[in-house]
Amino acid sequence: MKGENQVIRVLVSKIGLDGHNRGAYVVAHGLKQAGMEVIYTGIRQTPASVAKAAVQEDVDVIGVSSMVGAHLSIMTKLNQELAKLDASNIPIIIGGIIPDSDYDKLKELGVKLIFRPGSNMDKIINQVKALVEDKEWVPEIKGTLTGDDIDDISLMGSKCDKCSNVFFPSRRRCPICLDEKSITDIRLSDRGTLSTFAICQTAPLGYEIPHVQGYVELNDNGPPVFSLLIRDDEDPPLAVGCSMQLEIIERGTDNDDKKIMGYRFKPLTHT
Amino acid sequence: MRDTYVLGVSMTRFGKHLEKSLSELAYEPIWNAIEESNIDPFDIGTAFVGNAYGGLITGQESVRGQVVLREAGFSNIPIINVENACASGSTAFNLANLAVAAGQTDIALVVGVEKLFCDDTAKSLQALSTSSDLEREGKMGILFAGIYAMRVRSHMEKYGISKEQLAQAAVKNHTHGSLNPHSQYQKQLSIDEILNSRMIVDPITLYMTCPLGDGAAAVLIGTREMAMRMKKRPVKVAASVIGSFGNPGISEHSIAARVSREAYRKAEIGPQDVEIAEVHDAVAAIELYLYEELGFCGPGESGRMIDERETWYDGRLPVNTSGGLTAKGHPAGATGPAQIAEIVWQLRGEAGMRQKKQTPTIGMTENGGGNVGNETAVVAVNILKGDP
Repeated sequence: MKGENQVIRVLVSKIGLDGHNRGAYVVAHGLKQAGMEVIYTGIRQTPASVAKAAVQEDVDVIGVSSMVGAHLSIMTKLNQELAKLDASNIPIIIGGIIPDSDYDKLKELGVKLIFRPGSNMDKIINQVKALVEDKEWVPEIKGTLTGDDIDDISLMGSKCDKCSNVFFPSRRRCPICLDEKSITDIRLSDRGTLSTFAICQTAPLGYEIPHVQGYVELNDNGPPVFSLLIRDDEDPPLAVGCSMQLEIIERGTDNDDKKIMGYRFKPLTHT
Repeated sequence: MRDTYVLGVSMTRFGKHLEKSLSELAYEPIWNAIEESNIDPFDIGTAFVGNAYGGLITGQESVRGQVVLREAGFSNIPIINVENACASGSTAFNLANLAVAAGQTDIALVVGVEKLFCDDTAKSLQALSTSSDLEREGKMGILFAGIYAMRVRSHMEKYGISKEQLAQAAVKNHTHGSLNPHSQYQKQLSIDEILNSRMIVDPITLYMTCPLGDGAAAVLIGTREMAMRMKKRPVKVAASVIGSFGNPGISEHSIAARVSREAYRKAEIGPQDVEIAEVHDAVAAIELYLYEELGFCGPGESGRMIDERETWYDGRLPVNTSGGLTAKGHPAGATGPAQIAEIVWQLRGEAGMRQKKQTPTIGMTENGGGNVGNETAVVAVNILKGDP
């Protein structure tokens, strides 16, 4: 998640024996002129070295330049290396000689944007900005959700190292030990069991009727989580003891145009 | 700490009093309680005024207690405003009791007052919804009827409590209400009328829930000598305990269980010694759960308790002879002192048509308020003992 006034960081890389770096220079220069922080890896990098640099430099976007037709194998390997570093959430864009017939395959491999030689620099800048800013979000309720970007949100709690208890929402200080240093934020399970629920035939302003609320006991022995519950027609009916899964939903945008993200639980449809 | 005694008690009839302000509502209970107490009103040393929603409903956010007591004629003495959601009045009682016990004053006045009707039901409901953490559960649109329904549902599932048993608690409280001239609802309802009334949150129907209401109640607390001078049965405050939300999943007992255990310990009694009780039945169905949490019966036995009419006014342990919040009404800030008044009347044999046949000696009140995290935000328990 990018905070206010934080600069977008982009890694520009060339992987393999491809030495045609003029395009990469142009793009790197253009992004830098637009106020972004650009890290240029130089030529003849490996997928592993690029993944490592991306994580170490905490970049928002990885740019790959490819002029010699190796883009599919490069992307496959780069994905593998990023997964090893638990960094699959970093979006990848690619520029260079890319035949039409490979577009769908690249999209399947997770590539977000593809630019051909001669692409307009302003267009590149705007699309990179949108790509990063689209992933910016704020939680509807403070202390309940965590995630580096919008595709990677989970429930957040706090765990105390002293008493081993887990709390939800997150706490600044353990309410059992009253210690500030012993407590750290953790991700909580996205699965749980419904311990009780209520189908209200009345609702506060702005909520649909019926207004369904419940407590979900999370699978990792976390605390009971209060949540509104949603259910599609084909989902199993709500019952005490039924398995539930987390659903992250968009609840509008804030004044900075960041997406406001909330959570709900719904019956688990597959195991 | 010295022993403290309840002197005079008084309340308005609860209901819709659109034409009356907070201070007009409180005037009569204050002076009726003073007159009954047989004290010199100049001896009242401190006043504690409990009110929860007056700021949001009337706009009088600050100095509500001073405004209320100005109408009643009081000035100069310390006036403490007390807000603790639906337990505001009980909290005022707790503080007043401590003030007398500690010797800060010889006589303390407790006033509980609330106006929830304002010709705009949405505004009233909005005010009530502020008794949750607005930055957290409040942002999820948490509903109090839903909280009660969730608690009732898990209790039903755990012990096989039936909807009919839940409804019986409402039948009982509406019957009690029909015998209480202070009650907002004074009409007996059949089990079918209750079960067939509009569904609010399954399994809770309309006639199982407390209505919006306006009202006031007043209580004076003093010393044993003053209580003796009243020439009525002295009623001692054996325990007054307040507790707050815990950490469900970690805390061993619920807030009601924790606070009541502490009150029993302080009063040196056990739950089996309680002969009459007023409990926080914001929905009648929650009474059964409370019987168990307060130790009136063992886990899972509340269904049998209501089946055998043990908690009716002519039963072993009458609960909510006033009609409870369900029938008598629930003007939040006034509820705690009104519960105290009912128990005092019962211990003095003054409860009229709903009087327990064998005048009880030990009575208790349980009053809850708000919601924070996964628990009631505040619970107050008081235990009163009549002289043998």
